[in-house]
Amino acid sequence: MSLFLLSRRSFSVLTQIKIDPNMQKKLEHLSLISFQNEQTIKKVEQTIHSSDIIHQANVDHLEPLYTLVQTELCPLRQEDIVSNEKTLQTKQVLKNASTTYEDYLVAPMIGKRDSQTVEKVDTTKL
Amino acid sequence: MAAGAAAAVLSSGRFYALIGFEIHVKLATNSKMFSPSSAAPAQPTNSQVTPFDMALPGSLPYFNRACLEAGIRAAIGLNCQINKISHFERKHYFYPDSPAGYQITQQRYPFASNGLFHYPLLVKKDKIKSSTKYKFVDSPNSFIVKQCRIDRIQLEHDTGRSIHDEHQNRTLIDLNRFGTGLIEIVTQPDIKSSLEGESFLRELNRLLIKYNICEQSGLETAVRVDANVSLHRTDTKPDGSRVEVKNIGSFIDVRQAIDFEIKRQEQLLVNNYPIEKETRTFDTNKHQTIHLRRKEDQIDYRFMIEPNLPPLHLYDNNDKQIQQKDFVNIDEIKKTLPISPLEERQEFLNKYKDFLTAEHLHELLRLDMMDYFRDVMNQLDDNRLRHIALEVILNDVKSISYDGRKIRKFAQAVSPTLFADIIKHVDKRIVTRFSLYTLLTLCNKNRDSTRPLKSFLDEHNMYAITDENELEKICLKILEENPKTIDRYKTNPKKAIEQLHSITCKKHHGRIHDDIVNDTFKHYFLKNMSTRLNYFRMIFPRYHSTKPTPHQQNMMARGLPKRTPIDGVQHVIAVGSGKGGVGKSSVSVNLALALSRLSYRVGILDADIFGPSIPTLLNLRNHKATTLTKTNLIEPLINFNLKCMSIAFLTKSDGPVVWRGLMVMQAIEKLLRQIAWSPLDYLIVDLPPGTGDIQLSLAQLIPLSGVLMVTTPQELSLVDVRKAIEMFRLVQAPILGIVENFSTYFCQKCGHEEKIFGENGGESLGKEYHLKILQSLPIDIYFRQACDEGRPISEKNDTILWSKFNNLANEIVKLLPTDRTTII
Repeated sequence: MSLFLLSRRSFSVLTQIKIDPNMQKKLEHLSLISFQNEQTIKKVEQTIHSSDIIHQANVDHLEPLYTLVQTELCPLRQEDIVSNEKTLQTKQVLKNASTTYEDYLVAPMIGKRDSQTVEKVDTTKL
Repeated sequence: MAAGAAAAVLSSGRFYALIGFEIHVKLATNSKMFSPSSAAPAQPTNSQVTPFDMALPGSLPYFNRACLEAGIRAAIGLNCQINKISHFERKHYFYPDSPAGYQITQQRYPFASNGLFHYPLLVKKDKIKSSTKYKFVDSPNSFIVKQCRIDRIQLEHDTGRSIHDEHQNRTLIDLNRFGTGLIEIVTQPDIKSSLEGESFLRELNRLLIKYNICEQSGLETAVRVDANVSLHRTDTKPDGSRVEVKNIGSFIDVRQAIDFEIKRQEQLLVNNYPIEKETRTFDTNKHQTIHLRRKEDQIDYRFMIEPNLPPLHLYDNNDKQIQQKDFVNIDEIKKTLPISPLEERQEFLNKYKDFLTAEHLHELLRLDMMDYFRDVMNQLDDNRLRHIALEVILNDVKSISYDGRKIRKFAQAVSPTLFADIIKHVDKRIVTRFSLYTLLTLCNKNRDSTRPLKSFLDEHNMYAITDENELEKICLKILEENPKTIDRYKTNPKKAIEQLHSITCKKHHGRIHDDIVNDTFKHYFLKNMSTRLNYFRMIFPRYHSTKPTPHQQNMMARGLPKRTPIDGVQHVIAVGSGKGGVGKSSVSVNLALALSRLSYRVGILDADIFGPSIPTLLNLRNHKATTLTKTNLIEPLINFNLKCMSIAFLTKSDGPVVWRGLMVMQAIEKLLRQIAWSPLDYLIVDLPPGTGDIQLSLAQLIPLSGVLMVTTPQELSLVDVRKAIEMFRLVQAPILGIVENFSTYFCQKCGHEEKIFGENGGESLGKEYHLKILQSLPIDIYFRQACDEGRPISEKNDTILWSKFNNLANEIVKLLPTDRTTII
């Protein structure tokens, strides 16, 4: 079992990361949240800096954990049968959606697969 | 056409292509991979959705064992190393058809990797001639087999379906499909051309269907293919740049997409542009790839191990410590697998090697009829019947259903049992071969494969007519309606019979067997025509305007030697054969002797200028003809009451006669006109072998009453005899019949009969040309001795051969009756 080791940049606790425009674009893409102004960016940088303290811990010889239950093996659903009890009814599926159309869920128009749009959000909570 | 262009690029030797595939296969399970809702397609919108499929908070994935087993079957079929421990991961990206915001996959820790898949190279039939570079069959019993390495196989699930509504600027989402199990098969770039690509995918498809991994519906719904294509200059290493082509929906699209890409990249390379890493999509209608996005815009998927699914453990028989209840054992699954398509084809080649070759299999694969073929073979027991079935599948069935869809429909409509039944009926001659095609078309249209064959036959009355009386009536009726064919018969019997055959078939819808039709007509003609041959000729005027009238013929023949009969000779019979050494001279001599025993006046002329045998046969070696009659005609030598003449009696020495054509013709004329033959009832002329000067001169100088063809049953001899028969027909010399010599041998010690020179040779010849076999003569050692010694066997009355010759003589007399009132 060989897990992929995370590459870590070795930091001095003192230096602070600057978010350049490329990084900013990438972060916006990945989170679908936009940075409104300089202040927001500064806040993000500060948050990153304060969490950098985690690098002080020496974890070179440890494998990261992905689950709390180490000894469990993936359980298998033995019967390949359709369960009508567990399947939701269509009206239940549509219940929480604000807009539906003829039993379809409606989403805003999106381009081809794997492209993402950035939505403007009023406040960012970090 | 892109195909030809791409092939040209590759065969020019300046470039090479590297092609790899990423293939998503929809697994044939009842429920989805991580949730128990139905995986069936085409369900009412959003009716097969569980809380997990909607990513509702608190829902967790529960892995479906059936998906794992299907995946393992694929891994075994593709000869992969199975990783006993593998991990599920999340692949993050935002898209409405993925409510969770991530897809569960096995990008970095797949359960199977490092596989190898062998596949046969298949070529479209029309491309066979042009694809001289590709041989598709190595030897009669093998295909050209290529291989492709498999990088990995990973388990993952499908996303929902999104419909883009541009008018309303919205996307409609149906989550039924979300969560159905998939395996993604990633190959190494071992594929070198579009042909290899298509062959690979077809074979993979066969394997997937056979191992019950995916549903059988072709490339369109169960399997999605993305191709990575890159072209490089020969002698350069691949630089990792490649173009990904998505949205390829069928086998044809795969070929076209690859060909287009090769051509496009070649243009770029030739003009020294670099190949950009990009993602393109394939447009089916325009048969080209279109740019979608650059690779630099690649999204960071932030792969991370799925925390809700612990590591997946697999076991085999070697594992002693198994910590899981109800675990999956790889070896158990291996045991339940059927044999791979590759092995199955090899088995067929071995099992049916009497009639099945790799070329047949190639054709069956191309037509997608392998399974049907297998089922039909299982229905029949006899290899002979199986061979017939194979031929029918490859010919009749192919022309009824010539593409993939139609073949499947045919296979459903005409079940293997029904098909096998039909074959058996044709074999037993209940149905004619002729109506087989019609019958198959009817059954195919009918689409009810449970209906018994009998009901089809009854409904359309397709039984073969076999009752002899009815057949005769039919034949006579047709002859009545078509009198022209009777006339045609005397000039061209073969064509006449063919014409009658086609008329009969049309009229009676092919319900009479081919050979019965031909035989019935032939019998009729033989019975009614051969004795009245000349009579008919005189009575019926010619209908064809291409043949000249007798007057015209006379005018045209003015320059040619005229045919004058020899004075005092009633009948001239020529004994000929196409081939030498069949026993003409022996037959002519003994026939002459037999005739003379019947108190006819017989003469024998040895027309073989270059190899006279008569002197030996009649014990007249070293004798010369020297006496002249009062009218300056040479007196023929007389022995055994026969008048004999040969060139040997006129030339000085026993040496070879080395003469040219003109001298030969003159010699023949001399032998005919300047010998005192008269009076004779029969003059027998022993011809040399072949169809040369001498035969022609003879036919033109005198009117021949008849020709006797001598042959052995051996095919080698028959070939030449046919030529001779045609020649005699051409010069309008009537052929009396065939004498089959060397027909059989009776061992002197044990009496066992051996047909050394073959069987029925003379009979088949006779049938072909509507001639009678007048006699069949066995090999007889005493006969040969007698001939060599010049002592005819007719002397010994008790040999079989003597009686045969007697019969032969009687037949000749019947055919050519003499008028006995010749004045001496």
